[in-house]
Amino acid sequence: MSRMTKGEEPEVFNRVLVLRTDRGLSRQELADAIGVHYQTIGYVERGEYKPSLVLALQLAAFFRLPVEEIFALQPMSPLSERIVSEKPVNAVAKRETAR
Amino acid sequence: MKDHTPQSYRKEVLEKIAPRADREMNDTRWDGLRRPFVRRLIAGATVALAALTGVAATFESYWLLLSLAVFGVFGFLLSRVNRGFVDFPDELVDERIRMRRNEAFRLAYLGLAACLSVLLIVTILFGDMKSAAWSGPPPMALAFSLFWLAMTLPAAVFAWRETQL
Repeated sequence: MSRMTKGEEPEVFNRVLVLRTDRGLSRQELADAIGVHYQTIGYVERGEYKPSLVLALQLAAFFRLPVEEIFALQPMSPLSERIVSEKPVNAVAKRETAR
Repeated sequence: MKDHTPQSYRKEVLEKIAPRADREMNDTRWDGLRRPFVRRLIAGATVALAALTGVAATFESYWLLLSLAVFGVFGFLLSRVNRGFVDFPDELVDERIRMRRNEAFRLAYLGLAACLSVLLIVTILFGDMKSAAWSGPPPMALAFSLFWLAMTLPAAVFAWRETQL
């Protein structure tokens, strides 16, 4: 098995910026809650820094989302698209639970 | 009963430094100097001045004092520009800053080692190795330059490389 060099490291996509602005938080507020410097949040949002597993899990816990909903190895679809595409499924699920 | 282990002492020290670290890392008063061009100018000037202190050490003592004073001013500016990221203990900076400063330290000391290797090779090639007398630059000048370079290079490399500070 060949070792992956740093230049070959896959890109990591994330939704931190969307989630932060959606909750009306400043970078400083999010950084204080997670315990990092506010610039680190900016670096993560711009994809210029790949956070460690610990930081990724801390962000997931803060947003109360599974970590794979915030970070992915493929470009992430906009959340609005996800909501629209998942609506019928939710409606069916609700109907079934109502029965 | 008070705990006297090294860990508890370190914890105590960290608790004392933490408020100052927090203040310095979020200090926006020096943002004007943190623009990439200005930042690199300060980093370059500090390194040049660190090397020049050695040259000044070979002249009259007031030249050395003057060069140390100017170097001190630039060293202070460099630490403000870097927000103290290079100086604070690991526990007080986050993982990204730790990673970036580790890279800066590695590059700085690799560069310094490379310069010293070149100096050594030049001395071997052109100096009189058989003679008991030292034929290279004055030892005091070398000691001054190397000491201040070793002290400031990591901070200068950090300030030079960061895209945003």
